[in-house]
Amino acid sequence: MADTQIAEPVLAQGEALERRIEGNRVRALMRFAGNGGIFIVLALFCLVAVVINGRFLQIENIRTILQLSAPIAILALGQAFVLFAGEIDLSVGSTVSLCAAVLATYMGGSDANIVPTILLAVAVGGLVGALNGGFVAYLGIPSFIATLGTLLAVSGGTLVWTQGAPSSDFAPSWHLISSAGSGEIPTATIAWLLGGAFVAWLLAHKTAWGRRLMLLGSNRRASQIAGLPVARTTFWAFVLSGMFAACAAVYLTSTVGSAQDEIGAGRELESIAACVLGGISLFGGRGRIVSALGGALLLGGLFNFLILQGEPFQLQEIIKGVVVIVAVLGYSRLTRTT
Amino acid sequence: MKMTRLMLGGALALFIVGAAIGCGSAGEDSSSGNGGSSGKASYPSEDFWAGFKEIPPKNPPNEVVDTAPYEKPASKKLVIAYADSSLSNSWRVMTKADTEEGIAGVGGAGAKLVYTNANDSAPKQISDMEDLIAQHVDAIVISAVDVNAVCPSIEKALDAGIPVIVQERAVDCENYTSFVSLDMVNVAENQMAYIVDRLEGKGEVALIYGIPGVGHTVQGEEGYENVLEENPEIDVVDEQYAKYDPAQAKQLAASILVAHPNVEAFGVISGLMTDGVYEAVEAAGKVDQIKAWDGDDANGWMTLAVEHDLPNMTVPYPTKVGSVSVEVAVAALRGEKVEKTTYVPRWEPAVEFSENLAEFANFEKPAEWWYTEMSCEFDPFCKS
Repeated sequence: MADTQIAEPVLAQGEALERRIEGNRVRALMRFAGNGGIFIVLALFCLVAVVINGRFLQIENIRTILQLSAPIAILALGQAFVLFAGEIDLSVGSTVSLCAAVLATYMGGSDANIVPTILLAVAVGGLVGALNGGFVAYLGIPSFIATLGTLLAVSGGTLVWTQGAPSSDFAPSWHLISSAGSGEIPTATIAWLLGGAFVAWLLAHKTAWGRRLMLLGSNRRASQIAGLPVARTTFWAFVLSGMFAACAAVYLTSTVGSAQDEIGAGRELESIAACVLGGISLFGGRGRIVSALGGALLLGGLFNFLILQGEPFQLQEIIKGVVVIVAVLGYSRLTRTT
Repeated sequence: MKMTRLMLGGALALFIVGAAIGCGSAGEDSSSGNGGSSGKASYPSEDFWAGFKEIPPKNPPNEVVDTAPYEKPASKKLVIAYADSSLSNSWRVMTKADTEEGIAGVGGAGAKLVYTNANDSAPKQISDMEDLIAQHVDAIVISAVDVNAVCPSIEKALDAGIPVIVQERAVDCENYTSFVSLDMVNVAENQMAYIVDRLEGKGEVALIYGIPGVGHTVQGEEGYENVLEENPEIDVVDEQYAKYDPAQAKQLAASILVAHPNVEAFGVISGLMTDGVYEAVEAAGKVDQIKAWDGDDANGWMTLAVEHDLPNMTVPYPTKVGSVSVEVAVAALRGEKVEKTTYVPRWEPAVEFSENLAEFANFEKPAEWWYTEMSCEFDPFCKS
């Protein structure tokens, strides 16, 4: 009995120490990923891939990887804002489909309509985001539920509006938005990736709003007590997520010149997986937004590598799922240690 | 606050303009699409089908189904249900429209349509079938999400005295009233036979299918396999599923072209995906390397083939399967003769259709339109 009374507290201390060490490891991994380590991982992956398959880094394949990664990156950059706030946006895929239908319906086959139609689509995306933001920030509905509901409603609404048949009267130059390039170099796609990352970085890390976003994600209660406008900050995170989804629709419809209802299906998981790979915390307040770009490039490279190796395309779905599950497991272990 | 708003607005404008600048940067020529230069006048520039022998549809003799148990009084307004698999692509959209035209054209006391959409979900379609049976509809036309999943529901409908017309997508059971077939096996056989002919029996080919387990894809795989097993020197370097999505088909084709740079043809079971594949091939600068193309009467594919004067086997896959399914359902409900398999005739035999593609392609209509004789009232892509 006396031995047990001595042993139990010692054992408990040992377990607590183990959990702290494990938590420190997870935290270290997240810090590494969030501080740009994802780009080191990306470089290592490219090295391994090119050793296995020499064609991986051929210029035409790099172009393919960039074009595959671009829509994931644009969506991930928008999703990152919401994740920083400690929330999640599951409606980005259906927002892409809705905005694609807007672009297909209103462009009227004229180059002169390109910019106004893009602005219209971005406004529609922002409106969907505002709806989500309203539900979450002002009505207090958990973001998982609210955005799941929006996903279904927007998806159904798009189908009712288009009856599956959006007019795809795109402008003659529309394809150049994603495919324009200087010889082999996909200039337009690189502009999308770098431009999107730059704008997102500015907003997240160089504005007062961005700093508030990270603070409230780290500790919502403390932010409320400190008098920060928590609801408004959260609201705008969702609006931005919707607007970035619209931009992804612009890119996607430009690649194929059509706007099928399923164009955005399943892309919400891709955006989350890319953010998670980039070290952005699912629980808020941690990460560098540019790392979402690294996560998207890694996902795109991985998907492309699978095809080069002759693996079935469906493996991509497995990879997305595994990444998200591993991340959630990792984060849940982290919170148990804190 | 004001500065933050200004920065926000400026940053967003920068992003949008920066992306739009992609339009103006030094670039490639216009690729596929409804615009571009015209090879139309010169299509076809040569006889791409010289010496090719089309494989005729088998259309085997058919048993006649006893429809007496389903007969309804002539004075009854018929209630015909359409359990659709989805509206996920434009062929399905036009087939639904054709079905609606078929309903509107029912004589006598007329007919009413009850429509359900399973959104490509087998459990949803089973639930839809349960609802339709509970509503005691007079007949069900079903486009099956999966070859197996709906078989018990079909059995249940038949037990309830409701004839079931299986439309286009085959099911792996025999207990239905009639199967309205577009003979996708024969479509795919002709597509692959043409590829083999153009490659002179030897070369590398990549295959792109639709959705695994769906009747159209399953039959397409069977058709390709029937020809490939007789031509062992055709090397299938990769097989992928692109879910009838041209964007996915483009990504897959781009990666396949890197992995297998000597590919000489893509077997693509639906014209919905062929234009995505073409864009990837064009971006890789390999259009001249691809010796044969295949497709169907999707306008995006047809206009592409005509515009770029491509050697092709374009086998029609008529959306009039919709109205034909309604005719078969009505015949069953009137106690008339119905065959176990009803074959929908093509607009023209495959070789003639491919040769005369310029007459069927419509440069005024969008890529999503399919060749049809539907009236403008029902055609969803018809601008009145």
